[in-house]
Order: sequence, then structure tokens, then C-alpha cells
Amino acid sequence: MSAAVLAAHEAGFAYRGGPPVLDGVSVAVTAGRNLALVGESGAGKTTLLRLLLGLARPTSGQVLFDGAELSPRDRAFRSAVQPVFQDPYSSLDPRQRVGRIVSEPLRAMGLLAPGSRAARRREAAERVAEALESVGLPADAARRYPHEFSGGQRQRVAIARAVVSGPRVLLADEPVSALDVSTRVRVVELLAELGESRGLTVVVVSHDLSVVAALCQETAVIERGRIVEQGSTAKVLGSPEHPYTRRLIESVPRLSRAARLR
Amino acid sequence: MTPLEVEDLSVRRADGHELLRGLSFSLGPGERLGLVGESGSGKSLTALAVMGLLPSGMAASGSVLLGGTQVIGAPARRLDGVRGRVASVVFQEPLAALDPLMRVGGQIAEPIRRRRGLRGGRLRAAVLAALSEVRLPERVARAYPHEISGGQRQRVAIAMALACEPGLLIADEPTTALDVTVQAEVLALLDGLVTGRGMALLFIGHDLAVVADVADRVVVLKDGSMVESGRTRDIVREPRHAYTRSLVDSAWALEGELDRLAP
Repeated sequence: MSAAVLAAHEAGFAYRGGPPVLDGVSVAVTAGRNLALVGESGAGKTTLLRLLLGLARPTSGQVLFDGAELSPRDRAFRSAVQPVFQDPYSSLDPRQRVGRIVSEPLRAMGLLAPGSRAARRREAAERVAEALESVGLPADAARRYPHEFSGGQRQRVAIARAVVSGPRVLLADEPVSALDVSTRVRVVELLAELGESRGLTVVVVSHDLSVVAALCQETAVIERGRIVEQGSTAKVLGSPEHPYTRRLIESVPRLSRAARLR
Repeated sequence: MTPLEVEDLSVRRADGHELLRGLSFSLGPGERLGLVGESGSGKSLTALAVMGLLPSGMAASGSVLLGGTQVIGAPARRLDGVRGRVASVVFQEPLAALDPLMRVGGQIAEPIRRRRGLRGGRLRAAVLAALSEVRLPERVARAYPHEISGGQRQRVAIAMALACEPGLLIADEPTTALDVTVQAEVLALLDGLVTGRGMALLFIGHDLAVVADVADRVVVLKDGSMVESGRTRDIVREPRHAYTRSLVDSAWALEGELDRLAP
């Protein structure tokens, strides 16, 4: 097993004076093994993702990036780990053109080669075009505004922004739950594809077990701030040991059941 | 009496843009019909038009007979007599359907008091009976909406919708905002109540698997028009229209991934 890119080690988190939101959580993100964080609202999935993104600091335990304690301002960390949010309607600035939105990480992290302004602008445009192409958007998308795109296309823009800095890990919080089912299938395919073509490892927070089964090799089930079960997705979903995992799987509405019954 | 007969229902915006085009379907007593489609297909608008709740600036044409009463063009007073008694609605977001400043018991009591004319001890007893019917403990009556969970709030909304014993329940994405285990519980509850009371159910949803689990027949909407309708089982197994097929294939594709690991 290769070393973890990103890991939480006995990590806990509590708001001041409040009960723990996360308690002794250990997960590891290994390159090439997409990880799903599964659980219900309030279980602590998003909080764990925030710890892994460096947006919050654990109140106990550690979060490690490449084996060393994560420091959120570290440029290597910021360009290596990028987020994709749930709602593409609110995560994109409506007043900026897509080209500017997608190139933002390059400018914010100073990733463009030093040189004249024109040269930097040219490099940014090339990298934006490449990122847009990798998510299946036409090159002229850069000149348009977010409102000109459908929900699925907007999520592709958000993914392009996340991959433009050449990250190793994408942290995606419910990346497809705001999308219609046919769009959802295509965005899941895109995420899987990017994993292969760009050597990206995707960490997904999702309540949708079908998405998890389609995209992730590893799954951790979180209930009330604790990990109750984790391992390969095939094992966790195929032969769940914890009663909560079993209940989650049984609750998924299935077409096959409806087709049999009616 | 037929709970719902919709005939050539169209809805237009003030600028003339057509949002629903010539929709026709009917629901007999005790029948369960599902309305499926993607966002923007006109599902919720159909529910609003059926209840005579269209936002101002939208105009409906055609015919909607709700328990024999014509809804289209009806004055507000006539609709007051129909809503709640003949048909009632459970919406997607229970927090928006409940008054945040009023205890849950008071909110359930309101329709019972107005429609059944109960007061005092008998009203209190009716509220507790309504709570127990949706499997909520008595203490919920004293809670404010923010003090209970999303699943409990949706149960409260269901109790309010059923308070006047309507013959038709319209459920518009009633479990979309809920976690999957809570969704399963609320769906089972709805199923039991609708069967127990012999009510008709119009179930609106974007998740084909959820709708198929509840409804015997399905109407598929796309861009405000009906593209296909038929028995749930036939639509799920052999969709005829290309759009329905893409919808069903997508749903099967995702579910297939899960079936592969957890059959």
C-alpha cells in the first residue's frame, strides 16, 4: 500500500462549548483509490471534508498531508487538494466570465510562470482551455457567464476550476445531488474519467449509494461523528457488518423492486 | 365521485409563454398516480394548478375537476370549500409549510377546528390522535418546528394534510429533502395511511425509483407536456418514448452499480 496523500488521524472536531461533531476519526486517502464518505445529514461528513481541506482545524488529533501536519497556507497543499461544491448555482460568481472563474486558482496561488503580463495571460488562457476540454466543455465556454449554462454544465465549470491547478486530490461535497438523473450519470462518468486521465483521486461526500458504488473504491460510513465501518466499497456495500450500514443500503429506493412488485 | 379529472390543462405566463401544455389524466378513488420528470418539467406547477394555487401572473385553461368541483376560474370562496376536504397537499420542504412561531399542536389543531368544528378537550384529543396516526409522540405537540427533525416535520405536515380526511392527497416531492433512511420511513407511513383510508394519491417526484415504489400508474412530463403514461411496471421495464427511455436507462445505470455490489 502506498503512503496516504491526505489522512485524518484520530481527528475530532467540536464547536466551542459544544458536543463533538467528529470524534476520533481516522481515514486515509491513497492515490488512485477514490474514497466515499457516507452518512446522513448531521453525521459530520462535511465537517470531515472541511478538515481535509484545511478550512477547519481539528480540535483533537491530526490531519496529515503527505505525511506531515497539514498547513492550510502551504502552496503545495493548496494546489494539490481542490474542492468541488454541491450547488453549481451558488459556487460560481454570476458576474465573472467562466474563463476568469476557472483561472482564479492559477492567479490566486501564483502558479503562472513569471514573465510579462501578456505571457501570463496567454498561459492562463491555454490552461483554462485545456481544463475546459478535459471536462467536456467547448473552448468558447470561457467567454460566457455561468447563467448561460445548465446545471450539469455549471458543475463541469466548477470541476474545471478544481482541476486547472493540476491537483492530486479532489474533495467533492455532494457533487451531483443537485442534478437531474441523466446529468448525474454523466458527471459521475466525468469524475471517474478524470481520475484515470489526470491521476486524480476523488474524495466524495454523498448520501447516494449508487454514486458511491459507481465512483469509489473505498467507503467510510459515518454515523453521529464516528466512523462505524470502512473498507473497500465492494466489502462495505456488498457485505455490510454494521447495522447502520445495512439500514442505509436497505433504504435505497430501487427500480428493480418496483418493477417486480407492480 | 372521481377525486380528480384533469382535461387539457394548460398554464401560461403573463407574457404568453406556455409552461404546461394540454395535460390530461384522471385519478379514481383509491388510485395512485405518479408524476415524474426532471427539473423544470412542470410537475409542481401541475400540483399548484390542480389546487388552484397558481402564483399571480399565471393563467390556467382547460378543466380541473377536483371531487366534481371545477377549479379553473373558480372564485376563492369555492376553492376554500374544496381544499383540505376534497384534496390536500404535502410539499417538499416541511419547514416552509409550517409556521415557525407556532407550536406544532396548534398548527395541527387549526384545520381540525376549522373544518370539523371541534373545541376544547375534543380538539386536543383529535390532535393527539392525528399525531399518533403519523407515529409521532405526544410531546411533539408542544414543540416548535425548529425543535424537531426534518422527518418529524414532514410527518406533522402529513398529519395536517390528513386532518380533514380528504379523498385525495397530493404529495409533491415529499421525501426529497429527507435522508434516505427517513425517506423510507415516511414513504412506508404514507403508503399505510393512503391504503388505510382508501385515499387517492397523486405523487410527484424526480426520482423514478421512489415514484415507482409508490404509484401504480405513471405520467412522464417533459418541458410541460406529457410524453408517456401507463402502468408503472410497463414504463420501468419497457418505456416506449425516447425521453422516458433515457430517464429509465439513467436510473437503471446508477442502480446497476449498486446492484452489482449489494444485490
